[in-house]
Amino acid sequence: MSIVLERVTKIYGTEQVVRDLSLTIEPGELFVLLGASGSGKSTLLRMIAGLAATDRGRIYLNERDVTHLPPQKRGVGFVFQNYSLFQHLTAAQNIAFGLDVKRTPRREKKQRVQELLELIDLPEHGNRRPAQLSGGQQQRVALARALAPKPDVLLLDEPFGALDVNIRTQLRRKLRQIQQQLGITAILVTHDQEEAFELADRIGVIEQGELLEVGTPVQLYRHPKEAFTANFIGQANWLSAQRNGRCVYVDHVQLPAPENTDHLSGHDVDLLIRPESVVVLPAGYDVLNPLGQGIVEQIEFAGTHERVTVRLENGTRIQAMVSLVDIHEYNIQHQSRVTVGVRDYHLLPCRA
Amino acid sequence: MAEKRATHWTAVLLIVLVVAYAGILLIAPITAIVQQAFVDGFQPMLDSITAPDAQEALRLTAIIALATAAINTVMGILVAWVLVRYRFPGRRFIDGLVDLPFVMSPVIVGYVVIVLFGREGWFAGLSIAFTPRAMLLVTVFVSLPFVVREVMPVLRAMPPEQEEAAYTLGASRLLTFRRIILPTIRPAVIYGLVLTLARALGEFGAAAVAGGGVQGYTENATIYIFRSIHDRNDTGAYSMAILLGVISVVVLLSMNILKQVQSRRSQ
Repeated sequence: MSIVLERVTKIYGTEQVVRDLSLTIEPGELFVLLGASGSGKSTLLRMIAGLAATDRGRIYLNERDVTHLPPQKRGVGFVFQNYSLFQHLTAAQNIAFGLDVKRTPRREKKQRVQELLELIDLPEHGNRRPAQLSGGQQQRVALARALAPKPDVLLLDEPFGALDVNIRTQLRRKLRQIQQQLGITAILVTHDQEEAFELADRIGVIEQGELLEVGTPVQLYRHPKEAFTANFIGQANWLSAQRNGRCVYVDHVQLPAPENTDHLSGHDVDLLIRPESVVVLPAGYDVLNPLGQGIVEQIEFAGTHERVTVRLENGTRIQAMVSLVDIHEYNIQHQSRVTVGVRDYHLLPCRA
Repeated sequence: MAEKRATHWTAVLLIVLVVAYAGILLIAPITAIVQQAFVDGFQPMLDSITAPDAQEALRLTAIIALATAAINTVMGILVAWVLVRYRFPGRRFIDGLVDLPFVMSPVIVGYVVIVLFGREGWFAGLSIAFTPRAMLLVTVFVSLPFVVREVMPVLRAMPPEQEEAAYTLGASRLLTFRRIILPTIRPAVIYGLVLTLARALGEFGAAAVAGGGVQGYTENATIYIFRSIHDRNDTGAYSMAILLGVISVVVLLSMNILKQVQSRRSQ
């Protein structure tokens, strides 16, 4: 089932919370809408479900125009952040709700409910009420409830937002497994880039109601087209540079130009360098693509790595992720004199 | 809230105080009435309660109480729904107005009905004043807030996602109301219904003024008690008082039982 949005717009009062947004989602794809709170991502999801009216544009689910259909007639499953289970019904009754509405015969219904309880690994919990289930269990029941009437598409609005980190990771894997097993087209809304990376076939970055950029997680991380994307997804060092001939010039430092950037030749550019692409070695060592020498200003422990801030001689600050092994081997400390190189970098047209 | 065992002297003192207070206020009058009623034995009580005028008063009280409960349950849910779910000019005003019956003297309510529907009133043509219909009208009015005020907070606290989830699962608005909203507000409705019933059973002032208290026509149980006291028919007054009291207690108990059943079911 494909989902096609054609220039959809949502207006609240005088504010356009979703602007002229077009997007095509392929059948069987898990698409993640990534954006900060207030970016319009949840509104867009609610528009697809029919829970919010579409003011302009068209929405097609599997080539069927559903723009003005009520949610009942769209055939979408929706999972809410706060689970939203029916408190007075048991887990099994919750899952059966959509089947009851369709007047599914009793035996078929019972079988389907049991099937779904097993799918979400809660085969023995059918008689529990929501209040007797943990948050993670409730959200799994909510997922099963949404899947029960065999919807064409599955929409998830920050489904793991209210859960603990451990359970969140667990549930993400479960969701991905179920989604792939069923081959159902799904859109998940989140503000958590880690979640987006882990789940998405493709990510759409949304900001102020506009879809800035769409791509696979790797594309968006390594070759973002928009500075916003680069900053929103992961951490970034930005350096002003010029692209000329076959090279990129940062002040007087010359780096080879990345492939496919000829169109930027002769222009001012912004150089994006991810902290994990920065190499920090004691002064005097040779590094690939040296940026210059500097002093270590700060070292912060960041779990598997140390986050090292180096102040280059020209005053520029560069952040680097350096492995604990390297920190010890090269004895990098506060105030150490170091030389800085870059393993990988990316060019964006100058913002100004 | 953790329950504490009373060990400190202040706790003991407070308990004694509460028990004494409840005893004086609640238990003493009930005992007094019961004792007085049985002075002449059981038979006179039975005789007075089965007398035609008493039967007629009871019948009127029952009809008005049940009708009021029915009307105010339906209308109470409706009013609560509209006040919580819709935004319209005057909503706050009406929201405030709902509590008017709580603060207004029932006698005034009854008088207003006479003024409106009496011979000189705006709606004189409806000839409602001094009829059982006027009594029903004022009883409905004085007990209006109960269901509304019980249901409103529950409706307000109900997350909209519950309904939205039902919609995406294919349920119509009506089905969603029946299967999702109604079960959620049911305990509040029952509680409001019981309060409405209790108020309607015991209504005196408004009913007496609006209905006129005509024996055998617009005389309900409480007006019957009032008349019996005046006529020095002590047995009649006591018997009716006990009967009404017992009915009220039964209503109260059934509400508590219902509440327990509900909470056990939702565990």
